[in-house]
Amino acid sequence: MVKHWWKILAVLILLYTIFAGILVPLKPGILEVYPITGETGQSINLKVTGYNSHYLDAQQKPRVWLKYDSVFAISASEVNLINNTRLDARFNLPNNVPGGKEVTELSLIIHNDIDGPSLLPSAIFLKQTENASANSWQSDIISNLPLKEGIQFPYRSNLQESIRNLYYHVPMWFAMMIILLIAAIYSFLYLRKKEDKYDHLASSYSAVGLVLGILGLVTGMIWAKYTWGRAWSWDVKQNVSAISLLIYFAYFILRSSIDDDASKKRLASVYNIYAFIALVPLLFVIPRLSDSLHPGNGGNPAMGGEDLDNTMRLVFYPAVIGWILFSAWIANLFSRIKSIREKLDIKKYEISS
Amino acid sequence: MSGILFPMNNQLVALLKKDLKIDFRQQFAILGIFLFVATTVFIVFFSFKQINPREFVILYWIIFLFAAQNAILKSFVQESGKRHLYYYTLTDPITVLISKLIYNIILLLLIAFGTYALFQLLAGPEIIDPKLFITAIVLGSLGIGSVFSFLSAIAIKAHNSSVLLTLLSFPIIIPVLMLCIKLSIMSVKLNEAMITPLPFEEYQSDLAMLGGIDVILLAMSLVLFSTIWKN
Repeated sequence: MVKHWWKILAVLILLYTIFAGILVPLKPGILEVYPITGETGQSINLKVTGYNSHYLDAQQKPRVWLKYDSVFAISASEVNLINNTRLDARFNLPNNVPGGKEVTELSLIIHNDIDGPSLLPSAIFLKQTENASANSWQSDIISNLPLKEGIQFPYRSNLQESIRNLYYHVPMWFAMMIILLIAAIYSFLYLRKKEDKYDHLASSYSAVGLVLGILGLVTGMIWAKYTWGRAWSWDVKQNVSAISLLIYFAYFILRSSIDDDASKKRLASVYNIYAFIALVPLLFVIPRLSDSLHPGNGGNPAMGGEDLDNTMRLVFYPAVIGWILFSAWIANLFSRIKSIREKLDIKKYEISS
Repeated sequence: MSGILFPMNNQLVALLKKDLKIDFRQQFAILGIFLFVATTVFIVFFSFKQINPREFVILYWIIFLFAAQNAILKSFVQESGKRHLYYYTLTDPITVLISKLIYNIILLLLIAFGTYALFQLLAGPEIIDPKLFITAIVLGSLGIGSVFSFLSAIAIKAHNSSVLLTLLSFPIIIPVLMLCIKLSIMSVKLNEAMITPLPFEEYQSDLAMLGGIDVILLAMSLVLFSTIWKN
């Protein structure tokens, strides 16, 4: 039992991250507004739809602003609450666009005491027209926005609930890289020591790494279906990950196409090391050559900095460790099965001869 | 140092001479590859009629890739089995690999420039930056040559080696090929407005990446080759 603590730990961590990743709610956010365009000097009534919000339940009436930058903003002249997730806000739009631009984007900010602040970037477009009115920008009016702390995942208007994929897709890729690295190290040890167990370990770790890669690709495709609109859009990151899976399929085809046992193990080990090192330019160089929709490229949110908040860290880092430990356990089981099979084969051969 | 290097150099020269002689005697193999290139180029021009510079560069590299695969597979397959054992008794594996690499890379350069000459003869785009185009061809031949030479040494030990070589090498060659295509597209005249070559800053990072990948692939081939050879 004492020996197996890390396997129990792996299962517990994985269960924790799977349930926490699914069950923890998102922070309140703003789903959409209508209309999405406005003209200067006009008075518009914005129909706002919130997400996980408590507009009616709140003690305080929500405060609503349209924000241009850190200085210029306007507050709503009138706010009507319809239900917890719907409110109407009337704005008297100012008579000019700051900086003399033709069109600008304004962000919508809503704050109440239960939800804390929520923001919709580029909520409406403001167009410069000749309408004359007395409305003007107010400066430094957005203040007193206490953040609500709590066990909640951040709300991002371009990701929404799909942000949870971070706890499944990303740790699987992390674990795949670590597991394939271990496989390459075992291949190296096989070439050094020529002990069969290292080859069994290397091929088992490669197999588990391949399964993790397939899972990573599939979870990514499900995510892409809902955020990019299509499961497979020939994005450069999708392409290179599919190619990296091909490399490891080729490894298993190589293993099965050599008859002689010793040379099979030796050549497979050589190819495994070569393939792992060739994987590095494939996964880390090629995606920089062209534009990608994938988070982390071209201004899309990724891990690190403000995109990974403390609640997400509580689930994300354990998930990485959990997947690595769990995969290592399964790979070790596989390699033991292979060792036992080989021993049984040898025994059978000895008995029959 | 020279005492160690001299015999190796002699062996290297002898091995290179041997490869050259084999190719002179079995002219069908090497001529076959040039015929393969010519046929493919003709098919491309027949079917495309008019070809824009971008497509030209991509087709050029794809034709080159398949020609290179055929050429290199031949160089290991034609001396199988016992002859390897014979070389092993005479010299060390690194010398054999280096001789193969030098020979194959020169062969690939010949194929690359031959294919290019054929394209130009028929109707190719104007190359505005020949230095960049030649650098891309040289670095591409280096990378593709080293991957194919190393992996065909693995593939010939298995059944169905030509299919296996494709399976093993194409995923690994993709970064090199993508960089080569990108660099050579930068070196051709894409439209009438382009008069001067792109400034060096535009492509220096790609060039450095391609060189870096080549160095990694070559170094790994040299390190790992001795373990394949012993049989």
